Amino acid sequence: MLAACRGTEIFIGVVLAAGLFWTALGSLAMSRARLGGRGAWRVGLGLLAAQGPLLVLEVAFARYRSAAWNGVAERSFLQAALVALAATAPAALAGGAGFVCALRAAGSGGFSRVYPADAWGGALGGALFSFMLVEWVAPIAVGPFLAAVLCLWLRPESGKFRRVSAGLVSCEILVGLGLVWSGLDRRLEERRWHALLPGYRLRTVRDSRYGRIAVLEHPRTRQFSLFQDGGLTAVLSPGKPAPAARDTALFVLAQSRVVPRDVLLVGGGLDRSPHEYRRAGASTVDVVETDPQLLALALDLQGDGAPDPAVRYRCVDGRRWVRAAAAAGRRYDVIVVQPPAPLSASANRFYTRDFFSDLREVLRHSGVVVISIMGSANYPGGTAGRLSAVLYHTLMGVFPEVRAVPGDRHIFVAGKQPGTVSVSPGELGRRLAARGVWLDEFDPDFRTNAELYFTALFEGMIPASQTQGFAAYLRRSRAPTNTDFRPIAYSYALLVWNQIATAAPDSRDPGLNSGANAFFRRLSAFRFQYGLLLPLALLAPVPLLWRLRKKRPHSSVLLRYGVAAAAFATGTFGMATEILLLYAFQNTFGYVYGYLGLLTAAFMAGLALGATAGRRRSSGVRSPAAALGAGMVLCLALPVVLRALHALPPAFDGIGVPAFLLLAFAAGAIDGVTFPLLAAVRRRSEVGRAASSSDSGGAGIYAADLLGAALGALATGAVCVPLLGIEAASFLTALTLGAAWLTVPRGASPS
Amino acid sequence: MDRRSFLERMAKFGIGLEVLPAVASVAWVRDRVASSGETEAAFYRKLPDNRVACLLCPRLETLKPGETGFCRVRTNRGGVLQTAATGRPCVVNLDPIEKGPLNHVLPGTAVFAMAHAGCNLRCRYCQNWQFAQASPSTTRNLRFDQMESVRLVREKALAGVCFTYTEGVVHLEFNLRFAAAVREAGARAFLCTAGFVNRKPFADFLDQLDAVTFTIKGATDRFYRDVIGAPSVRPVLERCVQARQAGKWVEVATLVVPEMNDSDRDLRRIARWIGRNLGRDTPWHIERFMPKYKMRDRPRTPIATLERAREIGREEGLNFVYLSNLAPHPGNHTYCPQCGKAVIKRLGFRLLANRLKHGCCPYCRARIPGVWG
Ligand code: SF4
Ligand SMILES: [Zn+2]
Repeated sequence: MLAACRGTEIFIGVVLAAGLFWTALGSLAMSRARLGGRGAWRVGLGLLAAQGPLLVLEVAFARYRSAAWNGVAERSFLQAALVALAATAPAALAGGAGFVCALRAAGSGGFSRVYPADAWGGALGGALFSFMLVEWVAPIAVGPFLAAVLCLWLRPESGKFRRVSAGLVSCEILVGLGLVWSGLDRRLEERRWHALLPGYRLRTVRDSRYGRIAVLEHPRTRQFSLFQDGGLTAVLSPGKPAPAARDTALFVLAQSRVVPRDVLLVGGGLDRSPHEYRRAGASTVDVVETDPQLLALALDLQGDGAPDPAVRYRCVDGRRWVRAAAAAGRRYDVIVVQPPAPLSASANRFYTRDFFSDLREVLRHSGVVVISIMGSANYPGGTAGRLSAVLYHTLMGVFPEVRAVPGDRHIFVAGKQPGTVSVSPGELGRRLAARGVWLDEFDPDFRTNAELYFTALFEGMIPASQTQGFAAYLRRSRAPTNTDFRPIAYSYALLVWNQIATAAPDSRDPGLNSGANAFFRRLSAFRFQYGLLLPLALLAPVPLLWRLRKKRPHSSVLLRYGVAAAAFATGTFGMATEILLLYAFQNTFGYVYGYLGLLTAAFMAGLALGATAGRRRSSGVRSPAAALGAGMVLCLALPVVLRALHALPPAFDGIGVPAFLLLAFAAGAIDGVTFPLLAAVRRRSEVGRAASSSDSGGAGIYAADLLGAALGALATGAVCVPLLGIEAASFLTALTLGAAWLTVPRGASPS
Repeated sequence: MDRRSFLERMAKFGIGLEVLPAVASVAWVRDRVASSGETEAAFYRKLPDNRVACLLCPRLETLKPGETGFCRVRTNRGGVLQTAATGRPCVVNLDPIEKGPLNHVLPGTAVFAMAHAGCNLRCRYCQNWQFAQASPSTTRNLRFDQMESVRLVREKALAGVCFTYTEGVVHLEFNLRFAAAVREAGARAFLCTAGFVNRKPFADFLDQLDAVTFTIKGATDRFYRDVIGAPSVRPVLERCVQARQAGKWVEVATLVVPEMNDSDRDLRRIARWIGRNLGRDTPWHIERFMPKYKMRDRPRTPIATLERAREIGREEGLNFVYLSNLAPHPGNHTYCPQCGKAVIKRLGFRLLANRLKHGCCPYCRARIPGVWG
């Protein structure tokens, strides 16, 4: 599902939450059904085998509606959530129900055997996804292969079922192979692009570790558009002029008071920009682009003659390049940062105070940094205004002087020294004219008065009235600072995106600030105190249940509640830590798509081993409180550890990546070990009751855990991290565990 | 215009910009006005049950009490149609007149460009969506002093006021008043409009206007329906003719969106229609689409397409076809239709040289149509 969606973490959170929600529902529903051992085999096998075709359908559906995931077309946050709910429903429901069937089929005590197996499956899936599926197998073909593994896992003991099972496994494998050969994925992609950009020809689709690349060709003009994960990344017209790139290059180079020698482009260097910087007078241009496949494609499409040795392409994450350059003593006169909009944590890293501080280190004394962000040329306010205010104040926290030019993309220029940067067309024109810059395409009539010509050019770029108004707006605005660990620009950017997405073409509502947008605006005022509501809500029923138990001492309701609350909190903890680790991983290494599965695999492996260990322990009387306590300690330590890992120089990657995997493993292990312990407590409380209710108890714990996980994914990914930061999110998770720790039964007490 | 007079113009404009803090103080400092002000709208009819019929634009909406129109500007308050555009614009700027685009009106001057929030169209590439697709009650509006603004226009020798950025016709009541005040003070009033308005209200508006730029956004009803959110292009074309017949200076602009309205057939249709109905001397501005708003993942128009459009315009006999937002380009300049020489040179929206002598070509003395002084 994620392979098909490839959205930002928020959508990863939404998809995960939706999937977990349906799985919980599926397992709850099946726990009510009366099925014997053989029936359970039969139904379980059917449900798990059905996963193959269902996943294929889901991926096809997600592809069909894929605009929802990356904001290509108008799908608002809520619409995206609804599509996620609809798309994940069938397979997740079947999976949840299948899990309970497996429990039944495994007989008494099955829960603690099936659960680790489930987790191992998750680990295997994650690892497979990371190492194989991303680049080799089209996501649409993944479903049948996974279903084949599931059917193998549920291998029945009796011969007749074995044959059925073997038949199903081979069917799934054949279907999977068929899908790989059939090119269905490509056809779906073509349909999608045909719907989005009729008239354009899909030339290439390629999957890389950084996302899906599509190249569309405009048939009559040989204009190529490069899309990454559905977002327009570069437009190339080989052999044709690129006026926008040229004007930006002139504007940027004019910002430096001295003749700039060395230019660094972080992103945005796929088109003719580097050559325009050279034409405008730069001696060397370093272009940093993360995705080697994207860069190779772009250079291939450009195909213009002999390469310029002064333009050096570096395939590395921009932030890491800057750190490495600082360590190597490399310095630049001008740095241009053109990342995608901060609609994901990995893009947000290029708008943070931490990054700007790194940039300062590699700037020469008179150097300037130029960065742009989505805006509105004539109107400084609105949500885009708030976003630009965040960027302005973040830059101001690092540089002594920041100027801004409003436009469809607001351009911010920051100087290392006061008095360097300028937004005066006359001043900029003078600087360029004094350097003797002149380009072939300029009007020869004005060759002798280059200053006037450049001034007019810059007057076109820097609308005086709008620029003054914008400066006044920024000075007066108050906005929080965007940092790696509190990516506030991320949530503001999502607000802008959601406004665009929700403005319905035929709507007559009050416009951009009504409905869901009003809700999200209010949500953007989310405070730490509101986060306390969850732990408080977990504690709220306790006094009531306590009183009930006083009246009826034999009732196990308090114990049952404690177990459910602990399962819920563990689910929240598991998913919250996973998302926190994904965020932090992106902050540190800049890419997560390929590693998403690996981190999940480490988490799941921890879960499996933890569950196995917990099963052994559960034979004795053990309190799950200790496990919850360990979770709290991990949550409290997490921010410190993550910051330390974040601060490691690139040379220490050998430590960084395994450390993240280890953290994910530890979180998984704590999550996993809690489970059988809770199940054991619950079982002991029910000695003498019907066996089937024990299963339903296991399923109930499972469902509570999944619901907690769904909430954890949503709250952490969509609200806590962007608005409150990683520290606060960890702390709130620790508090949630703390509340469960207070309610969880200490040792089992058979009634 | 020689270099010296050009520099003088530039200097004058520069002075104009220096008073911007004054405009800025109108604009950004004394803002945060309470947004509840409304006044009674013109051009509506009362119906039974406190309903009203708005007669301003071709949507001709019937509004129940409490209902707001598609434009988000006009609301039925207990049987009385009220407008929220009451002199609290959300944008005020000093723009070069060429930005309108108006290339044949007082080149090199600046205008007092202003807009209220709200629009009766839903262009999917809206450049100003943050306020055009919002109601005046939800935007950051400015305290606006009419007298002060008129004084500013006069003192700083601005060409006049230009209602632009959003659809000026849905703010008709205020715009009419302000245009009249500006003209009374000896300056001019201009409108950049999509022309989706009814005949009678537009006739009243035209009385107070000196020049109008129409955007004919596409050649077909289908394009208007799918991309612009209006049922038909017909009313737009009728308003162009109406303005021309009223003796106003008219220019036409078309934003060329790749694979949506850029076929030779569509472009030729527009060019031919302009030539036949508005005259071959009507300037036609071909504008480049840039990814924006709901169409921000559509690539910008290839330059070859724009040049082809310019060719088509010329093939259809139009004398003045411009590529406005692509610079530098030969399509920025004004050429004498008789001798073919460049008589006004521009760099995008900026004037570089105005060689006209009393509105005539300095080389062959042919008259170049426009409002030159
Ligand atoms: S002007 Fe506004 S209220 Fe009147 S008909 Fe048009 S959209 Fe509706
Ligand atoms: Zn002539």
